[in-house]
Parts: sequence; structure tokens; C-alpha cells
Amino acid sequence: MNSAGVGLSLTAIGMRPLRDALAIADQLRAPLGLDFLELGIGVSCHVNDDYGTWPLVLHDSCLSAGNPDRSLRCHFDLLDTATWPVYRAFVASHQVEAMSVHAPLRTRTSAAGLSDAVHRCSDYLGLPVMVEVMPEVGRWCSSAVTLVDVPLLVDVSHVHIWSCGDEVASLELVEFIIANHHVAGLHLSHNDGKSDSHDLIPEQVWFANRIDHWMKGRRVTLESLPTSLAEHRRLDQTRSRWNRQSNHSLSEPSINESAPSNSLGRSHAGTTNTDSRNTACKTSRNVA
Amino acid sequence: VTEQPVEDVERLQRWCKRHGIVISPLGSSQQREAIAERSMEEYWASVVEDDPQAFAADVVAEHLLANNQTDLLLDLWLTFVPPLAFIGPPPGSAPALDLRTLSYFAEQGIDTSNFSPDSLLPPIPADRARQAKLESAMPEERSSGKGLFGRLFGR
Repeated sequence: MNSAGVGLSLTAIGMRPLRDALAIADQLRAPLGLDFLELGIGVSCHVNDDYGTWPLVLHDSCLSAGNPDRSLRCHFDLLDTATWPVYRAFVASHQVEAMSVHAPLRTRTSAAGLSDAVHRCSDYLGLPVMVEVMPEVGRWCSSAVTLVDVPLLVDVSHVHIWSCGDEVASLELVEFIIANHHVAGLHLSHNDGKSDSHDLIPEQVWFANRIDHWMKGRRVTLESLPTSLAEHRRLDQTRSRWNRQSNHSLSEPSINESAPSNSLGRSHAGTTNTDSRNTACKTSRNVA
Repeated sequence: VTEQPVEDVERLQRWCKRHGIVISPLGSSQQREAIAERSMEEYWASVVEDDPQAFAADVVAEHLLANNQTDLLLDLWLTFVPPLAFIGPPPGSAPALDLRTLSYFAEQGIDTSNFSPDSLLPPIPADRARQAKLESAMPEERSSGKGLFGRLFGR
């Protein structure tokens, strides 16, 4: 089983039927040298769907089940073992290499409890389980001082929110985490340091110079596409771009301009939404 | 991360009480939902027990910020740093809340230069000197064109 490589999250090309998203992933597989496909929020991933020859990584509550016409998302909770069996069944019948989960609220468990849950879940699924660093205060792994001694998935854009968009601080934070913790994977996307908007990744993004160093021996997942592949971006981002233009009479926005969130802080992508505050940045956030 | 002594947390609790600060459920809706059926005392106790440092760093600061009590936030900082290391991180670590809070102070026009000279907090990067320094310390690995960004951008 590989523990490194580059993958594409369906979130990056989401808001499409799975069939269309898979066609894009197949098209990008060779040019980008993709090693795996990450199932994530933004595309309905039914347990009975055919994922072709892709090695898979599961991200949080990515699976759905039931009648294909009215399937329901299978909630996955690291702290609730009743939610685990459907994921184990899927792992048993597919080529799944790892799973990543959102760090839970600190009010729900202790650091030791979280560590124990990760190890038990990993044993149960027979997979490496990574805990994603989160942008919201109140969760474990939402700052340098709330990181837990478990395999971590470092979402660089979440870290960018920790530092309120300070690029130097974001670099330092990621370097710190990698130097002091077990980082098993990375999520890549772009934002303005205020909300987890999953914008297209510009060529001069703040982590461009360091990513090749950080990714050695780790799984790296593109949670948004580079600007060079904007034509495959999430469909809702394309729509919202034009909606915003018409609503506010803006001139043509640049292709890597931030995708907006609405006033409720709700993601246009249908990503898992949270209503937490960044106490200093005073922004709403969306998390995927 | 260095564990904070219990007495520091208790001291912080006393400080909160002295200033009439009653920590109420804050943060996300999920957080509120999760603790909706628990008493405030239980909530307080559980947070302290689970992670005193996080309690100190997040709960009190979040409460103060949410209630526009920035004067108390400053006092909190000056009273407890470095003993509690409320905002100051362990040596060599990269702070998270520190930067958030500093950013907040900067937004409020508060001069942070007089804060503890022993503070481990990096200054707000008002200029790009730090950027240049950082970049000089980090090799341009992308320039070969064979890395990830080389593939992503067809270089």
C-alpha cells in the first residue's frame, strides 16, 4: 500500500455527477501524474458506484448509500463506532489506501480520547487514518497548541486561516507542524485566509516553493485545481462567479479570484458548513 | 507543547471571576449543540480538564473578543504572559492564536511593540523583510520545473 503520491479530490471538480467527475479525473490522471482519487464532499459517491481502476482515499463523510435516486450521505464520526461499518464494508470491496477525518470538537473528547479513537478506527478499517487540521477554534488540531499526537492531514489552506492570510506565518506554521508532528498527508487549495473557499491554486501561491519538500513521503491531495485547469473547476464556482458579476456589476474577475461565500457563511459547494468564528479575523468559514 | 500548571488555570479562573466574566457556550453551533444539555460548571470543568492550555487560549479570548472586551484581553495578556503562556508559545514553536490575536490588536490600532520584551511572539509582518528572509532560507525547489507545480502548470 502506498503512503505517498499525488491525488485529486472530487471536491476540486465537484458539483457534477460522479460519471462526469470521473471522466475529468481520468483525463487528468496521466498529465498530472495522479496516483489516487480522493472521495470527498461535492460529488455524490455511492457505495455501489464503479470507481474504475483508481486507488481511493476516503475523506470524512464522503460515502452515500441507499436508493441511488435518493441516496443518503453516510455520516462518519470518529467518536461513534456505529458509523464505521459502512466504511469498512466499502474498504473491503474497493482499493482504498487511507481515510482522513475532520478533527472533532474539543468538548467531545480529550486528546487521549481522540488518539485512542484514531488507533481503534485504523485497526477496524485496516487503513491509515489521518486527522485533518481544522480552521475553526473549538476543534482539536485547530491551532499549534491543540495538535494531537496522531497521523495528521495538514490542509495548508486551513493553516492559512489560522494566520489570517499572513503568508509568512502560514509557511512557518506548516514547517512547524511538519517538524514536530507526524504528518501523513496534505490537502492543497487556495484561499484568502478568511474563508475556506477552495479557490483555484495560482502558480505563485504562498506554498509553491515548499510543496515539493513537504510532500516527500506523504499523500498530497489537490482539493482545488491549478488555475491552468480552470475549465474543470467546480461547476458552482463558475456559476457564482457570473452571478456575482451580474449582481455587483463587477468587471471580469481574475480566474483565481476567491469564490464567494454567502452571508450565512454557507458554501456554494455544499461542503460541510460550520458556523464558527475566527475570533481575530472575524470571518465566517466553510470547511471541507 | 508544555502543559500548563493547574494553578495557572485556577489563577485565570479567579481573574475571570474578578472581572465578572462568565464563560458561556461560544463558538460554533455544533459546539453550542454539543453542550446544550450540560451545566456551565460541567462545561467549564470539562474544558479545563481536557485541555487547560486550550481553555486559556481559546475560551477566554473568544469570550472577550465576542463581547468587545478588548481592554480585558490586553489585561489578560499582560497579566498572564509569560506565566500562563496564554498567548506566548513554547520556545521554537510557531504560534497560531498569537498571530490571530496580534492581527486583531493591529486592526484595532493597538501598539504591540511594548508587550513583553521576552515575548516569543513574532511581530506583525508590517513589511516584507521577513518574507525576503524566509525566502532566502528556503531554496527555490520549484525552479527545476520537475516538481508538482511543474506538472500542474505544464512547465
